[in-house]
Amino acid sequence: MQKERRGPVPRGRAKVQLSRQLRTDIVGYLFSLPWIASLLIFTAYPTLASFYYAFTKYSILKAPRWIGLSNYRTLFTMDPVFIKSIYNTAYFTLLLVPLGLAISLGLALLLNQKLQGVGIYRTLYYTPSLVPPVSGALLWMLILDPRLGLLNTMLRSVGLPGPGWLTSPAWSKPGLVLMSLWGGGSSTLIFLAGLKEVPRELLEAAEIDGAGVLSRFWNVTLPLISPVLLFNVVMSVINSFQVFTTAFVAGGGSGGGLSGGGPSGAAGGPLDSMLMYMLYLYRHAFHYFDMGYASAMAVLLFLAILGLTLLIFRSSGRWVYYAGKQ
Amino acid sequence: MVNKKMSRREFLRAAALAGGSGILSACAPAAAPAPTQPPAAEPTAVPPTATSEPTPESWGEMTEAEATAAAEAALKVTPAADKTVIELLSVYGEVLTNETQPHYVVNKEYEALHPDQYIKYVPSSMFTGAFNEVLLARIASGDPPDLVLHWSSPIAIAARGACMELDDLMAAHPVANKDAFYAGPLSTCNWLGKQWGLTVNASECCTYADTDMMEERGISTKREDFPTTWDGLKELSAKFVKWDGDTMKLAGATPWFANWAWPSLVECNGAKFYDGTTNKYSINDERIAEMLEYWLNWIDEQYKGDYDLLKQQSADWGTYPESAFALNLQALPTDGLWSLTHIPYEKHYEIYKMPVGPSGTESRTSVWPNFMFIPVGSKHVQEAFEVIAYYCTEGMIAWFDRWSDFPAWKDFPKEHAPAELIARVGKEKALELTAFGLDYIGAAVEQWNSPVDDFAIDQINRAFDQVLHKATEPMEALEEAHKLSQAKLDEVMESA
Repeated sequence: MQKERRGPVPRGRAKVQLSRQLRTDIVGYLFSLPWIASLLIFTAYPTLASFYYAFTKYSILKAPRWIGLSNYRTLFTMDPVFIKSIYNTAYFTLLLVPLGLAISLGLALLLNQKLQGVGIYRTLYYTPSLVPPVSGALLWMLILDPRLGLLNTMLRSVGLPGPGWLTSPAWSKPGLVLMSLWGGGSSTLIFLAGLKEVPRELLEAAEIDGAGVLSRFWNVTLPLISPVLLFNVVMSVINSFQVFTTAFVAGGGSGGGLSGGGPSGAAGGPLDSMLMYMLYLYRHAFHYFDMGYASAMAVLLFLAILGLTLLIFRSSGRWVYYAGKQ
Repeated sequence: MVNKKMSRREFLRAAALAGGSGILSACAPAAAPAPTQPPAAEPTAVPPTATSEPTPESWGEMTEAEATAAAEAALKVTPAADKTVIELLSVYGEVLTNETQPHYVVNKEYEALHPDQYIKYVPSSMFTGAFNEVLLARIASGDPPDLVLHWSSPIAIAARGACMELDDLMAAHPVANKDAFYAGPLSTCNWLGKQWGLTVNASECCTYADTDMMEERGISTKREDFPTTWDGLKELSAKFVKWDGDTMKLAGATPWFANWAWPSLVECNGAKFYDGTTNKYSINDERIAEMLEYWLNWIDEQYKGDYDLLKQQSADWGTYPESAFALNLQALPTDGLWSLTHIPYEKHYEIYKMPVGPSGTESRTSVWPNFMFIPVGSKHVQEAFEVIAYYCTEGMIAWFDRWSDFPAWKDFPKEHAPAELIARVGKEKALELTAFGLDYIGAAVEQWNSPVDDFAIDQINRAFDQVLHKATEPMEALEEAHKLSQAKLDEVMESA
């Protein structure tokens, strides 16, 4: 019988163990290499490049020329449309995020019922999020047509006045919000997954103790799905800050000039009411040939989203409950 | 006997090696395809009845589906190795329509005249607005196309040093020299005295009229009887306007909706947005404010003073099939002459010159061209210019026969009219309409030729939008637009 080795491992054996560990690590890195390369090439490099271009005059067609803080100075002191685009985006976010989350959560609660055929409903409610954004926007433009659209026809049939929607400065952003709410299936599914994790025994215990439906929801369900809610809040805020396709299609993003199909009124809808931040950034980059200015806008957007996300995470300590946390 | 099974670790290692090798080989640059002889029989995808690549004449006999299949097949043809391949990057989309069919015909005609050359027509994604991005990326990466067919003037690209000047090439050409084209369309590609591109065609804007509606009201439809002033047009418009509460039953004239035609409307009142010779904006001209005041009064008198309410009555104020005009909700729209063949068959219409404003002296018109230019870095400059010259002159015959985009070439033969127009109104009327267009193009204004055109147009759009919504006074809005546009122009000139 071979004696069990005690004491330090001979040098040759240790070398074999280290290289095996190293080989395991290398295999792991090789598997993640495509993702790392993609992150570096398509995310990190363009982000860092944007930070640099924000300090330059850059038309894409010529080499960038260093101009320091000039782009930022112009943005904050000489560009009223920039301020308007911030206002529009903030308005859109403040309207869409709470409404979108409430509707998604409501739908998820409904879809969490044990009903026959609920799988079909889940599919139906998720399907709109699969529709390409351009097609969806075009479809909604028809629905929201003030004169012949389905929505105003329905409103008029019950004696209500139909607003101008995308043709009206006052109703264009609510119209955009409506268009965006339609694709909320992803949030609904995420909420549904969270609801499935809520232990039934807690709800039953609460029911036995006399808690009503609303009370059970507020005191049991909501705290337990708060991590999921945090995720959806953060993602909704980030996505709504970056709204582009819907505003581009509905607001005449091709705007003045002939590029992209010809002039279609002011880019950004009536009185610039649909001129979102990303749309304005896009026009500077590809229609005004001012990539430096657009990069400065992109940097500011990045900082704003980062700041807001950190704020949300910081506040989460007060309202997010993690099961198992001491 | 040792049972040598593959361990999980060995399997993963092998899989990683195999996967990595596969990814690396996929990342390798594709080898350039070896030039092949063109097939003796023709394209791979053939239309139902054709057995060979269609000749230019036979295109006109095909159905749209057949022409689409033939064009798609033509795109796949590989040119012979000894041919010079000239790449034409087009703003038009991949889906072939009546509008793009002429391009393939013109290309084939050109190739028949230049057997040693092949035009590689590269369609783009016109409706998504991504063409500019593609073009800028190609130029910036040092791989520009040989020539470009675009809906935007090349001046913005020229001002940034990425477009070739054509003066010498034009001077040496027997046909496509500066005297061969009308001044208005030519000016759209002229900046600081240099020619940076050419307009293949330049359809003008005019006032359309529903002749049935006019005859019902006992109004003469003769061109000489049509109003020649804004006051006259407004008076005529009032005869049609009809409301039922807040629902418009019929509109008259609404010239403010044709925003691409604003440069001519402004010149019809004696003013100008921009002068390419002096390189100065004059958006804050009092006569432009006068025009805006005139429109506001017009909207107050005939359209309930509510611009938004008026806009809601139709999604399209031109002449296309879904427009108010096509749906019998408008009598006097303003639109381009390319619409001659778009208007629904059942509509009877006439076209008239743009009326003159109180401060104007003569009728002027706007043009909406197809531009062609050569980016810096083009590998076949001389050949590219030959293609442009052909498109703008002889090639326009094939184009115009199929699509009513009016030529900018002075020597365009007067006996041609679009086949679709002839089918619609008969040959005599079709030739009369085209004669009107060919004559009126001489009144085309200078536009699209600023190095900051997109920016300035957005400022003008914004200013006009604010005024028509009664959010700002005309002069205040125009001053702001002028200040921003001139500042942007000065900035570009500094770094040019």
